[in-house]
Amino acid sequence: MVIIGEVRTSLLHTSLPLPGAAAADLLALRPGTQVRATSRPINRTLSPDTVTGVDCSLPSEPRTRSRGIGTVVTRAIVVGGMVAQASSRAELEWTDYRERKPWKYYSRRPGVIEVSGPVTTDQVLAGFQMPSRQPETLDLGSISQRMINHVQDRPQLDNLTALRTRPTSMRWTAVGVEDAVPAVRLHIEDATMRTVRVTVPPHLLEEAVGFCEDLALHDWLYTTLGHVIAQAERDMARDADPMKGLRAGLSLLVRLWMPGAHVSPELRPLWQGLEAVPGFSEPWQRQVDWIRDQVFMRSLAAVEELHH
Amino acid sequence: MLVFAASDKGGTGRSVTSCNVAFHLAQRHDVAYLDFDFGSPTAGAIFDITRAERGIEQEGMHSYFTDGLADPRRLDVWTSTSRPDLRGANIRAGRLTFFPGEIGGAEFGMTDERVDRCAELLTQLDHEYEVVLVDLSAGRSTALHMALAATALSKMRSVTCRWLVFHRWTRQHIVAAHGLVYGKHGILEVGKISGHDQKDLQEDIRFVRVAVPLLKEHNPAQSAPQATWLLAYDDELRKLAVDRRLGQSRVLGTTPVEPILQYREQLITESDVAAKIANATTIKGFRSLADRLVDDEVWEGA
Amino acid sequence: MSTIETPVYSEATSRPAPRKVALSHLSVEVGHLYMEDLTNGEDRIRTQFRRVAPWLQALRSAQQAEVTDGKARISTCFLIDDYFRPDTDPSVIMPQLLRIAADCGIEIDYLAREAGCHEADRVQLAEITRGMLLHEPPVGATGSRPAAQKSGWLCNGERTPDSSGGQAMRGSTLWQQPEEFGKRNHSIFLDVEMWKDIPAKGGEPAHRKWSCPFLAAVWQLIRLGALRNNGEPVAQPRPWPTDSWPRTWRELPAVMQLSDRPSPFSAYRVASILPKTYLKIEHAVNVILDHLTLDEAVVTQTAERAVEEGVELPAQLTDRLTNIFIEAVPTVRRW
Repeated sequence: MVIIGEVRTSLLHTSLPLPGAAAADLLALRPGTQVRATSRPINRTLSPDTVTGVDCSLPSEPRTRSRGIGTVVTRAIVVGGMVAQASSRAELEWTDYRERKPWKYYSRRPGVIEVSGPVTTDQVLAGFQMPSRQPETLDLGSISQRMINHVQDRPQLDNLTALRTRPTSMRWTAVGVEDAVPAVRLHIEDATMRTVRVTVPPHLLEEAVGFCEDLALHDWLYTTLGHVIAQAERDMARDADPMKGLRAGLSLLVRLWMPGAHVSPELRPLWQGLEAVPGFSEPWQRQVDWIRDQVFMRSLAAVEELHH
Repeated sequence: MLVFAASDKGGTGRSVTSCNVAFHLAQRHDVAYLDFDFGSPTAGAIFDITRAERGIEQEGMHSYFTDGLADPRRLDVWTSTSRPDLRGANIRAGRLTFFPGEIGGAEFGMTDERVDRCAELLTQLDHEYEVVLVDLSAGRSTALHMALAATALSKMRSVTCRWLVFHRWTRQHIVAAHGLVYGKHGILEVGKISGHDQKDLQEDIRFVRVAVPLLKEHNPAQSAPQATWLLAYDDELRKLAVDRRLGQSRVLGTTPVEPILQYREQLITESDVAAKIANATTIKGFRSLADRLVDDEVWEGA
Repeated sequence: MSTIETPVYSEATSRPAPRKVALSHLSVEVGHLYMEDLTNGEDRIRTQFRRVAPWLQALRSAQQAEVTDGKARISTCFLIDDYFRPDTDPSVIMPQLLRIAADCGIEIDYLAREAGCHEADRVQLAEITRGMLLHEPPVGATGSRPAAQKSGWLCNGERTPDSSGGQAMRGSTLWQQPEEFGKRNHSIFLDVEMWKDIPAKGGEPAHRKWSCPFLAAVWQLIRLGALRNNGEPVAQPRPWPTDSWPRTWRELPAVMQLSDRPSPFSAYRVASILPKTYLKIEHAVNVILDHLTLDEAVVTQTAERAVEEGVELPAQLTDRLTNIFIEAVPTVRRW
């Protein structure tokens, strides 16, 4: 059993965090279907799934012929009223039947893509982990991007930002293996692209989706705080005031850091592994401390200047 | 901040100046450069990105508008350029991201859907980059019309927009630039029809004078009568510019005549100046344009 | 799925299981008449019900044969076209309609209004259904580009490529024929208009006008018990006395129960006995229903109950639909 997915994470186009009810309103993308939300330990709102039909080759390495027919499901997520994610996923199911069946067959199986052709699971997993997407193959990233754009375009947002940030993409695969001990491998491809490989026992495969979304969120937070610091250093190097960006980083991002909070307890050990190598919370805290020190020292300097 | 680069005529140096301004801005900000010169997408050549000299094969700006592509291709200029002196020259530089058009791409029509997509892209990038520079096709183009319509949408109201109109320092160019802004079917008229407040829009427009000869410098190749004529004519052009509402208060900046740009449109770097290939005044002109572009005081009331 | 639930912590904001609706074995739609036919004397009504009656009887027998233990639960229903013609008078139409039906041996258990398929009890059923649409991808659809859609239209194949609005100087391409997905040798291409967005005009606000096939698709979904609003059943029948009719349709519930203690309105299977003029509408209804993503929780619930009851149920919704087309009564020209 294999699930593949791609999460896009970006800062919501809003000047202030959306309260829970507003986030629910923002993600009410499908009339008649409730938005789901949890409020503890931090607000997390999930839109109803939207479904997209596909009929195309799958990425593979080495490149091998394949045809995948079925649907991709996508949901939007808002965390802390501030971060927007779009998460697309599909379960791959190998079949010997090569023709396309009537559409009603696929529309009744949301989130399942039937794969035919000589391609193997390992080839698809390797193809999906390639740094750049093979052209004319399944494109979960674009499906997620359209969802992000749709959410960011909603009238509930004031379209102002206190912080300019870069969205990131996380392409992930989750493989269900009997009796497997949950394991994860995170690879940072470049400034915005990450790939993740998760192995779990089959009954936890669905939970891996939530884990990857949580990982994508925290990787984005970590990356973004890094940019805040880089911009501050750039400002300081040319004697410009770095405070605006530092303050925005502190007030908007820091409270969102809660790795594993929204992950199934059975998959929390995955986070422990990542905390050990490469380390998440500890370096995050050091970055936060650095920013606080800067803000503190600069405020102090400003006060002293007033007194002289 | 969104910056739109327009010109009435081709060959005004709009693209090469915009690229150089983007290059200078990127020394301290994250900058996106969008090639909306749909009929002739060649900004890749100015950045010396070999694989995108005349645009890219697919997934460029054209497809974004005509095919509904979600993720147009982005090229990081610092790592894609083949100019060694640009790679890693400034370790503290911001990002400079180039959004290329497509090889053989052509102008296309404007539809409501494309205006919405334009607004969507510009909003998205405005939240990602400090400066988004959009290089528009010359003349009264789809690109210009689409930019005017997109920025007039209510959701774009909160986004700072600045419009640059490039022209050379000749009578024809001054008259043409005047027409593009103030004339029939010009920026102000089309902007108003699209839903802009005409007065606000006008305050967001500045002119850039490109390749203006520096007459005060002594030029031994010039005869005295020639120098006198040039000075007199230059004076006349100044009057014409004021008369056509292109006067100094509406000018963002001026770039001098730069011989190497006559031969090859490219970025002018300090190393070009150090090698005495390019003039120091040229780089100064670009830098001043970049500074003034993001200086709010410059844009308060014209 | 992503809501945390552990022995020590749970939160009530996750989606509850959808509420069940009672189900018959079979729901039979006993004919359909345009408003014009209902307001033009008794003959047309009588002719149609007379033709419907034997088929209703046949359906009853066929259904009973499928149910091995006990009596089959079968209900009848009739849909009134009040969405496009709200200007008629129920107090005139209904007594006559019910009397003629009874004369022909047809008891109408439930009466429904087409306008109720648009909105019932303030729930926007047509909008909910619109949100369930899933366009079929052409071969080669990777997800990079959105499905080529014409707003308000749904087709069962690939349209002729749009040659306008492209890039300049690309040359014109030759005409290409549309193609039905999954065709057998030849295409039967159908492009259905599901709604039309009417701009504001003369004091009337902008609104969406749903097409007859789209509302008919909603109608079948309600009859199949497949629609929910946030997990709640929609357009539930309310008892209505057959001797008291208001002057306007608007005053009536979306679905009314007219007979005493009938079998449930919704059913595992639905059959419609209609004049042949409705063939194209029912074709369109089938295309629409085949392009919906259903609430999986509802689908599973229904399937589980069918198993419990020993009812064999086709997996696909449209396979639970039966159409019987009868000879149409020569009608008043409507065009």
